[in-house]
Amino acid sequence: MTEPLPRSPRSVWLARLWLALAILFFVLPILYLLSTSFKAPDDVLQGRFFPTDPTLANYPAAFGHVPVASMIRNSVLVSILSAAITLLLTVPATYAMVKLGFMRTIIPNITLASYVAPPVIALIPLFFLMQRVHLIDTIAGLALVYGIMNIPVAFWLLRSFVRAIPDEIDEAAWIDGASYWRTLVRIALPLLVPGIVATALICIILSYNELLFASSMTFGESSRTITVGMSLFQGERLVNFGQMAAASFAGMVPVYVIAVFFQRYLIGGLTQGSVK
Amino acid sequence: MVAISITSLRKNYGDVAVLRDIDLEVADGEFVVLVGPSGCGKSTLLRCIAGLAAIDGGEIRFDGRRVDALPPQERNLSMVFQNYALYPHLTVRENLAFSLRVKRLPREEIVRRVAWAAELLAIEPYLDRRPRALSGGQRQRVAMGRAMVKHANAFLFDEPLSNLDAKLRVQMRKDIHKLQRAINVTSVYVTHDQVEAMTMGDRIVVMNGGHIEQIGKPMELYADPATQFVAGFIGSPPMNLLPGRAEGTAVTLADGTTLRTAIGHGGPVTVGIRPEHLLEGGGGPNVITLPVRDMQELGGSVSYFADLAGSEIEACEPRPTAVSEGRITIAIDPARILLFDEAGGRIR
Repeated sequence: MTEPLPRSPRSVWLARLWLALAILFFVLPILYLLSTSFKAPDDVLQGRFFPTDPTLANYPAAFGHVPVASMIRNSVLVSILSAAITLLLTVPATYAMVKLGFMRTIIPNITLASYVAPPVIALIPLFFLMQRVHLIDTIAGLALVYGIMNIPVAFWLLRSFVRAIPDEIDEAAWIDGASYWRTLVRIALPLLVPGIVATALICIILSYNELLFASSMTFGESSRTITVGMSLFQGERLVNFGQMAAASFAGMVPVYVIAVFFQRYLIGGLTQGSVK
Repeated sequence: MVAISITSLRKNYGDVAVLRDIDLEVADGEFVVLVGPSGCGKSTLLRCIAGLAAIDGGEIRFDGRRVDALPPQERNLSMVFQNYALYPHLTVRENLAFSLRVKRLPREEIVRRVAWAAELLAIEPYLDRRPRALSGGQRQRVAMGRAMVKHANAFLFDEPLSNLDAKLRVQMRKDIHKLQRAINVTSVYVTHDQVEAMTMGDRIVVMNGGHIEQIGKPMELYADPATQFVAGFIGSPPMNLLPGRAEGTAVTLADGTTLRTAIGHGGPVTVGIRPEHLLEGGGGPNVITLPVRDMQELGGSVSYFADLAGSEIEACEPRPTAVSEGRITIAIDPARILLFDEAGGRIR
């Protein structure tokens, strides 16, 4: 960590002002969402920022209209399960590639290529595959799809964490007689914990926010996720913005809890490898 | 403990041959030092012995058993790395015990061996600390301990002292040497520091550009170098090397100065004279007086720098007596002059 350089009070205040504006820019939509969740339908159409006659009615109505609570539960389950699948596959694969040179040139290219392709391409084949193995409309099925879908992201994040472990540490373990698996589990994994946590959080957030696959592969209350739930408020002729805002706000809570409590790991995950 | 036998070893990185025609025999219990400049292949050779790098030709045998196709786990070696490579999340005790746990030794045996190494290395007070809470010297000792507990076939050292300060390095040099003697383990030690090589090795292997220049006991390499490279690399301060032309037992330097040599030869040569031999041939044929350009007092000895035939030469002696009125008279015993041919080979 470098020491902060001396700065004049004026530039400090300017920096603070700039930061405040930037934060406002990002927070404003969420505040608007929160405010809308307390507005009656007519009030929403006025387009004012603050509700003229605040009401709590949207919340029970939203939870009554669609099963928001069970959808949030489904989302949380799918995201955690999918992150587990992603890590179970990606951690050993990344270790083997970085430390043992296994398919060192091919894997980064394949993962990048598969990640830049539009996800909708995979939708129809995956749908039929899932149907064939009877995993359509199940939490396990959706978690499997997300688990595989997030592998490229997890790989690119984890790669820099694995690289940060000095090669000599692995080599010392091999010379000490430890097999490659044992070295991974006993030596590398404990050192990778911050990277694994960061990667898990990012995978959880990506899965939690996913809509395309969720809307095509889940149909029933037992498997639908909250992102699908929010889209259900959009009727043929009428959009109930107040209830939608209430459901959205409730659905956001788990992700924000993660962001607030695991900030340190998240920032570590996103900036790892940017500086030596 | 095993004898290590390496024959015709080759190693390439892509199209670049980093090791070629390496033949080396390390006797059981012997301490062999691989020394050479950066990029000479000494660390690569050590990694080939360890199994951390695959070889592209030749053989490596431990006590006659071929091991070059075995992974590092199956060679039963110990290795001390330059940056120690201790497991950062394990305590010193767990670091020492790791290889023994892998081997599934009985608990009492593990405890006994860890205690033995800890006592020998005086690291008992730190057994429950993690590596980050240790100083460089203490980490070095733990790395040694990790190597010792294993009762390995051989010890491999990859520049283990280069991260330590000068004073600690001298101390650890002695300690490692003493420990190696005490447990009498076959050791291969890589360093770029020729002083380390001279003081520690039973034998020294001088490497340059991916091949072995010479193998010999420290004083053999110093007194009887096989090539110009070895002559220039071994010895501190380094040997003076001057270009000249030989005719019989006379060598004429660039400025016309003639030196008498003990060896007869004809054609272009490089003359090699050690700094400590420049002032001891009084009364002989090679007496030259030169102006002193500079001098360095090192406490135990004094070095003088003067120009001879366009090259700077260094002469040293234990006491500052040789200079009078800014001039030094050098006197070289013809038997002390070494000659090298254009390819760098020794002329005998």
